[in-house]
Amino acid sequence: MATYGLQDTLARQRKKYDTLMRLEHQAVAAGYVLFDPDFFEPYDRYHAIHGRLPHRDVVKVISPTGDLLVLRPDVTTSLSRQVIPAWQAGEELKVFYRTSVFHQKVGRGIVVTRQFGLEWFGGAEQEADHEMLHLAQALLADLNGEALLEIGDTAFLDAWLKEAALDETTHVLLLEALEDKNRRACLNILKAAAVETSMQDVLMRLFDGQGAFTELETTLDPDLLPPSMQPAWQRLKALETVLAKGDAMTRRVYDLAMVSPQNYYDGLIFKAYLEGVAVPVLRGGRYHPLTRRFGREIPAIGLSIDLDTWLEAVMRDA
Amino acid sequence: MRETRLIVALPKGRLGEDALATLRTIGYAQNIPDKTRRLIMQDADHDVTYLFVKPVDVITYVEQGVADVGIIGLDSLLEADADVYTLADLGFGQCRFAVAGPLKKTGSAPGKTWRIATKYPRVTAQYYAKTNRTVEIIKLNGSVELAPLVGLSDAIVDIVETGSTLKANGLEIYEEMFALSARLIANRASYRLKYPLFKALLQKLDAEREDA
Repeated sequence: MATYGLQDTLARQRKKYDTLMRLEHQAVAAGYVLFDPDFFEPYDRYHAIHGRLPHRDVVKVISPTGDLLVLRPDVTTSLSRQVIPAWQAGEELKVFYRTSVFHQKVGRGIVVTRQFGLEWFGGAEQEADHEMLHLAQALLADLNGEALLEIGDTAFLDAWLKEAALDETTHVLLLEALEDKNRRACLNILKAAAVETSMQDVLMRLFDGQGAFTELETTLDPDLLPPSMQPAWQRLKALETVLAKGDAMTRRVYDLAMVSPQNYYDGLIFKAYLEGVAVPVLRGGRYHPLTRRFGREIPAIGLSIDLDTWLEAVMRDA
Repeated sequence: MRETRLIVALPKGRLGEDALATLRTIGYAQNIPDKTRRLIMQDADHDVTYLFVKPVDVITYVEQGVADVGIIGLDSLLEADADVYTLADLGFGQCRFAVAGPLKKTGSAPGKTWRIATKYPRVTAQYYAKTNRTVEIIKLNGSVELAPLVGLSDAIVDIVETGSTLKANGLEIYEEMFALSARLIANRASYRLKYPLFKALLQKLDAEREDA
């Protein structure tokens, strides 16, 4: 068994520190400013925003005045609550954070997750989408091993669901089956709900639309997607053109039926994986609907990194 | 270098044997015997490694990314609340969750909270919460049928296949809960990183079920 001396320990700590500094330097170089989000949020507001998340996972706190609060389960909501009410029309705000979020897990008590993230409020949509994914690719280049960026757009499923007008139970069941990547369950739900065959075909084409962009262009026949989905397809096409000019180390795959457990994402949505790491190392997306719930709708996009997973990936060959 | 190997966690015991039988119908695991003392075996034809683990541990191996894919009963999956994809219902291992207890006793005395012994406290709590019923749950690790017979509980929640174990112990079903069967689960990162391997496996399983 290998043993480590003090110098080895210090060297590993130094490498971790350097990694964190590189993340922050890349954020600062791209024009992002450090922001410190609040620790607590009113429970009622959090519950209203995060409909599909399991609320037993949230750490609840009673304030001295008897109000029920949650201990910051995610940074995006905290930031939005602080930023949106003070927003002036036409403003842009690019912020980054390095902080912790808190969850309650059965058998594990309160779990603290350290996060690093970037958020851009008020940026022009296409420009912000491209920059955020460019930054994601640049950050991923710091990891040992080939990273894979999974990109989707909620507009495909939103358009389909709007046209299908399913009842609430079927809607929820279908989203669960899509989230589980369970193709047969999706088909069974569509058949049980007597959804028109042509609509079933469209959804299954979205489901099967997983792969490199060039593969989708040939296998999906995007011209045959409904007109309501064409803007989303064109957005992804423009994005792929820009990203293809960037870092060649990161593979990109697209998933047209991607579902996020965070119900506030609307539009671009993404995750990154690394060979040999069991969970996503980076995730993010566009979240206009969340800002709307804080008083006004402004363009907003962000990404976050689970720092413990990230550092583990950086250190695995150290 | 892109990983071309798939690691599959299979439960030891009957569910594992049924899983192997299903995999054989689509050409996988031809060289893997039903019963073996080896914990790890290789199917070189498909570059698949099989891990043989306790049924409840299948989820842990998959969730932690040690195995890419696993086959597990829905009962264990629901109890674990794991962060994995549930890619398919494999159709075998059919049984059901049920509330059962001593013959001719279908409830507790008025005003007394019903005590339920079970290996599945999470499933039980959710089931009763959905119907706004309050029960006291007693977690056991096995032989739950004993609990109501010796006064530890009023009833049990357990999986029932034929009902013969219940009958042998003088118990009857009070309430059918829902049906169960084996599920194919996947680690979320593995699914994305090895998507072509998953796609090939799922297409073969789907084609086999269409034919059946």
